[in-house]
Amino acid sequence: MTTLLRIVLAATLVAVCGIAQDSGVRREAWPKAVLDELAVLPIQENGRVKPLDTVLQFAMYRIHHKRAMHLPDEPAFGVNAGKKLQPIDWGLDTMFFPGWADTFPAFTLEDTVVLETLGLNELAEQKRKRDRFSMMELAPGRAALRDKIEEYRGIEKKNRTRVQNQVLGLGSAYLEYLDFRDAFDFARARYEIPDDPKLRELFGDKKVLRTSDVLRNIEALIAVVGDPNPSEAVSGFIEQVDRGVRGAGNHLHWIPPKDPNTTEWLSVGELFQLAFEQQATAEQITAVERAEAFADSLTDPTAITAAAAEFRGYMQKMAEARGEYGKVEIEYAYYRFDSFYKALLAFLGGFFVLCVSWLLPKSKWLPRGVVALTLAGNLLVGAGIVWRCIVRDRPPVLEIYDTIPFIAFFVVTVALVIEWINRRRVALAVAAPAGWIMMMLLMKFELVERRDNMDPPLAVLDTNFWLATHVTTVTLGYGAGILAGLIGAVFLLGKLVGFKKGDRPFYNGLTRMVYGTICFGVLLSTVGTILGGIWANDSWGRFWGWDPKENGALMVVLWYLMILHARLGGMIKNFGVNIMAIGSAVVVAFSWWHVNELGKGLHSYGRTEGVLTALYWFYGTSGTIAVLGMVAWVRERLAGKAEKAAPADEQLEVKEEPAPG
Amino acid sequence: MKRIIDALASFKLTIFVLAGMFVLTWIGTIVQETTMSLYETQKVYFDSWFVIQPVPGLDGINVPLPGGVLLMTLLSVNLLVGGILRLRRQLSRIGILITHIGIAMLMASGLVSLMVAEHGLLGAYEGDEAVEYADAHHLEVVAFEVLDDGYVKEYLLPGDEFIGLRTGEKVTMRHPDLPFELDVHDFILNASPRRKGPMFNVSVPVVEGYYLHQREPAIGSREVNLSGCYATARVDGKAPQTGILWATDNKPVRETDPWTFEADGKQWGVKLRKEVRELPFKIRVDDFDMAFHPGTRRPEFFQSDITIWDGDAEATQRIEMNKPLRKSGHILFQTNWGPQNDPHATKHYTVFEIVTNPADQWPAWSCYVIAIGLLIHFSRMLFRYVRTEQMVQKA
Repeated sequence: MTTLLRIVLAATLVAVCGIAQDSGVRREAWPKAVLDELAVLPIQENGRVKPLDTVLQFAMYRIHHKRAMHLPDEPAFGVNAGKKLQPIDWGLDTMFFPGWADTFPAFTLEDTVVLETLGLNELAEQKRKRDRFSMMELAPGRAALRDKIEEYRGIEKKNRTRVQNQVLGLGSAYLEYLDFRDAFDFARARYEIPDDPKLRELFGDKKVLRTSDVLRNIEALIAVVGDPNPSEAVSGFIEQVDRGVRGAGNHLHWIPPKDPNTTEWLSVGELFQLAFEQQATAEQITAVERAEAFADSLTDPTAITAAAAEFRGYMQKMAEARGEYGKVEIEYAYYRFDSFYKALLAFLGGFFVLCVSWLLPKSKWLPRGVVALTLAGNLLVGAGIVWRCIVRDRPPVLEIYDTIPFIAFFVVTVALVIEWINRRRVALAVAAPAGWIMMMLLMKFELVERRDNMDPPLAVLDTNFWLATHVTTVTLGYGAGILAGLIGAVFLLGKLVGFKKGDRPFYNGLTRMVYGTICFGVLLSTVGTILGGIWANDSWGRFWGWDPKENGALMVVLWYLMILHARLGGMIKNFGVNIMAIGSAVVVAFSWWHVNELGKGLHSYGRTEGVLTALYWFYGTSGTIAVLGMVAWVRERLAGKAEKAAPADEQLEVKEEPAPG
Repeated sequence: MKRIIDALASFKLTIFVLAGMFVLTWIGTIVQETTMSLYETQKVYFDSWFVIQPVPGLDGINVPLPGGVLLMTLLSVNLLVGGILRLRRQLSRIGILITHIGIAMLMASGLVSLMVAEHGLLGAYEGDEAVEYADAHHLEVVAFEVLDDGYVKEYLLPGDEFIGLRTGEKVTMRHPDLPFELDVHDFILNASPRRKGPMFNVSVPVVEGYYLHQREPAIGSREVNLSGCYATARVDGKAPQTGILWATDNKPVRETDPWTFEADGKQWGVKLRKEVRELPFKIRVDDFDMAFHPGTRRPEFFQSDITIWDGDAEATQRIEMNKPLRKSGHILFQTNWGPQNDPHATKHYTVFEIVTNPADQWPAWSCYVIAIGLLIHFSRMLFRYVRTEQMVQKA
């Protein structure tokens, strides 16, 4: 699509939008101070007050499927050309420069077959299978999209095809985008007062009204509107106002309610609806005025920063008066600092130094570097966990998202402790990559889950005691299984490739590590699972219900017990323990993730796109390692038999052979 | 005999049982996604001695597996004989012994709960007093007589043999003070009365143009089944009279009228209902409160404030999610509320699940015992591991 066409389409859409004046194209980059101010604008969403930045971040995940939006280096994108827009930049552009933002490639489609379903075949042909689209490009298909949504919603979830699910996903993203785009129409709107005696009596010589003016005079206006036969001019005026505030609908709740006992914040649309029954407060009207002043300042670089500060400052005061602002800036700082991402980098660095240390085995400093980077990564993970606890006033694990950093922290900590005890550099070799992989998983999961993972819990989960005891112990029990599996993999792959061949103390040491970790796992998983039963007994009146998540926890305990008893009974030795340790990681993955995908039971978190595929990869990889381990075991046994069968002098020769490395 | 005891105490049996339970739990989890409800899964896999498991992809090929009851029994025996009685009495094994005792306690609590625990429901509007509640599962047949002063006298017909009767089968219920005998027949676990049309026949009696239609038993929770049956009252010298009994009481929302007939010159009523039980104390629901998280339909809390009268003592108590009331062997859980579809309702009702279970707190005690046992044992092992590693490093 040519640049000219984009601009023409943008102008057309603005015209269609009606009286809400579009601010056109942003001429200068958003000043940092403006972004900083508005990022912490308090918004109530999904039961809690959070920074606007958080709201936009998750909206971008849902609409764009990315953490940032990269715009092509084309003139139409003006100051944004070739830039990577952060959620706050994109959000402010969408809300305050909607016509322009409609040309940004905001929507991600995993498969352009969706476009063909909507009759946009020409567009589908121009793009790749997975591509991004602007509102402008998708707009011609909106009628078809509406029809398809209606049709596909009637199909039972489990019977929907992939494309049907994607169409529904696009539908949700489209509506959410519109909600943002129109949320501040009211701030730009100007309502022309027609030549009507009643309105003139009310507003005197004024020619144009703003939304705040209408709100302030709502009682008098109701008297005018209340006329059973309003004049054409009055009807036209009412229609203008309706169009002006309609966009604000019931989205973006940024205005605290009048009554201190009411918990639900309001959008401007809702404020208007309520204002017909009870006059909006002076504070609420001032809040609307501040938003209008900010919208007015967009074309004035000298005023914009002050207007943003005034707008945000006023909203902060209103939220503080209700005691609901306390965590907003802490949360913003949490996302801004992004300690999990920094931890990922530290672990990655640790892994890189580890690889180098294998190439330079005599270096003393490289292993210390690995320890330092891994420790730093783990401290960052710990900081992130504590930060989340502070924001939510909750123990560390509440959502499935929380389990990932928590397990990562546990695995890396235990690995570092083991390394400190035995100094074999095996646990150290496991720690950095494990931390790195888990942080990658965390990033990926947040992107595919696409929902705020700090929203408040259901009533049944509203108990810090059980969250702190049952949930954390069970989660730590999972961590033990993962760590045992990783060390087991090192054992089996080491045996397969002949690493430290003949070094029995080394491999015995690895098995002791696995066994010790499993012992830890038994303690944590058993106690955690029983605590879960006790919690269920206090919540639902039954200790055990064979719910999938309960079953998963039980399977982990049973598997750990099998390893311990099989070893005690002499049924398995080094190879057996390590092969079963790989199994423990598989069973943990099943309990941790797979049972959620079943979509059944009281603990169901709902399905998450892509998790099953990742799980099957994990099962396949683990299975392959276990099979390769068995091959190594068979090979070693055959070699052992051959050794025994060989004449004494040959055996001597074999024994004298130096072990590699 | 020794060989049998050796086998029962062996690690091989432990591994067999643990592996069997693992496989059973795994299958019992997977089938919940595809073919079975939670209730069916429990029945087929965990409350059974044996399971006949179809092999996926191989039509008609089934594999017999030990069921949950058999495996639990074997585990108990193995634990008792091998893990407690025959465990070597050494100081180093004290942690294991304590852990095994804790597991035995846990299993005993499961057994006691299975055998003795009873579940019921009590629903009441704000301001209502209650001393009775309905059992969640058991049914009873009760007859009513309207007395001259307008009060109703209740006669409980003993026995519950009617449950499980098939079409054409009956049981006769009597009460010494009643002038009639009642034949209860054609029991249906989940039924709904329907009008009998001219185009089809039914295998159950038709009463005044209606019959009991058999529905799929409700899955997941047994208490939602609406059971029904037929009752025929036999009075000397009179033709038998047949009526439909349908257990649809759902207090406090709905109380069903009984089937009525005449006997001995009086009007009688008969009703099928969930067994009525009595609390050892009286309660009044003073207030019910609930809230959603702002802007969502996600419940933030729901709670009931009640007054309790126990003899002469009066006390107030709040019952909320995760904080039940434990009193006189009864545990009251906040489980439901209503009306849920009327946001402007001026009066709410609350529903408590009531459980009587002497083993209620045993899992908590066993958890402490197991935790202590494992901590002792694994601390010892950790200490030994550190010492071994130090020796290896020195060597």
